[in-house]
Amino acid sequence: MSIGGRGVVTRRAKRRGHKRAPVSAAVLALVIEQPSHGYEVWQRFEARFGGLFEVGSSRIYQAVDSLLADGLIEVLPGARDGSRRQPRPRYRATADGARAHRAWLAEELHGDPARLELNRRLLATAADDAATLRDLVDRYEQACLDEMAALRTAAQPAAAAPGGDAATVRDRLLAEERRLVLDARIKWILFARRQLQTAAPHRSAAEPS
Amino acid sequence: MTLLALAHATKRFTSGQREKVALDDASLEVDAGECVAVYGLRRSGRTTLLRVAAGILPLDEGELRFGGRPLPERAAGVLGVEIGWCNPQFDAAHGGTVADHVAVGLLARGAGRSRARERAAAALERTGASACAGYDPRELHADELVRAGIARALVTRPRLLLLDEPTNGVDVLERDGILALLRSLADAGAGVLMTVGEPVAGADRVLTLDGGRLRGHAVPEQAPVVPLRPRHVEPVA
Repeated sequence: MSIGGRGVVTRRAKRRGHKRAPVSAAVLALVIEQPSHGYEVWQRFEARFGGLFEVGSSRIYQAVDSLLADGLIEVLPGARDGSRRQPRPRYRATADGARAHRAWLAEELHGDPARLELNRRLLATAADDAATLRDLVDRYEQACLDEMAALRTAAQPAAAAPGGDAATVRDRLLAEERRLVLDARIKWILFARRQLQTAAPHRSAAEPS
Repeated sequence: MTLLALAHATKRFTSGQREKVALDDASLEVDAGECVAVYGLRRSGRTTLLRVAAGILPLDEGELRFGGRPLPERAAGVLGVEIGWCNPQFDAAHGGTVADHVAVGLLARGAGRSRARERAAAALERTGASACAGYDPRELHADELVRAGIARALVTRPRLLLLDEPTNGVDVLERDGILALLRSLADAGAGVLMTVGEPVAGADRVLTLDGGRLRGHAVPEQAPVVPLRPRHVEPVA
């Protein structure tokens, strides 16, 4: 679950001139990792990103179509699955797709756009309106707690030790970053609430009841 | 089934002329088979919450129910039997080895030595601490102490487990193993309530506690539906 939902990220991405939502970027990453047909992409998306994005297969096929239209992926020549009545094309990334993916990753490393957007909205709220700020902090907190409840333990902790297979170690690293970011967010929320509790009585005394 | 139900609980401590509200109108339910984590910083009231839930501390206001019935303070036959307090601290007076410490709860309740030993070995096996059975607790690593502490609580087959910061001081690479163990105990039907000072994986619900106020989904019905098990199925290429 992301704060603000995909819509926030998408609008921000569009303002910056990018056309890809996080789901499309994830699909592009999967195709870069391994050329696949649409159904395989969906299966791998579920295995890799399940819990982070809750989307159906149709959204994955839309993302594939969008990436095709943008020239970021292409049909792998001669790799159609001939055993089916309707051969399924396999997709691979184009050079533009690989470049776009690297640029997207670099940009994401600077911060979580959804969080930044939420914080911007929080700060843009009228400073006098303590009740609204408190409500926003409460909602932000619940979203963070829900995200925390979706954290999963490693299935085989022993394999995640240094020297474990690369995919497990990578998943572990990503999960730890997510956990630490959540820790920082929750601490910020507790700080914000105390600030509001300290500040609110002065204003509320002047406010009409 | 609701195991633990805390309703509008308030607990105050007085020191001289000062009064500290450790729990402020806190409500929380924990079901069987559910793992609930309460995130709180130091002095947030998190340990008080657990001590209240265990029936160790009396409430100033509010009500505590366990298994649908009111749980009076220090109720005989509940704490240490149906409610397991998982503590990684071991008193040398209770025995020399980890196996002695794990068995002591049953021995104190009249079980025979061989039966207590057998159950202790099974509890240590369940928590992945069999290898520690013959050691002095002072020789154990932090994660082994936590596992042994859970085993000591499990030996009486409790319905609810209470843990105060089970990952505190545990090496980061061992932390998920402890959490996976707690998750598996919940999946096996136990209720698990733990306080944490950091985000942890494996919980069905997470709440925050600050200044004695609990925030978040207080009852299971409000929790988001999340997969209980990690999905580690790699697609066929």
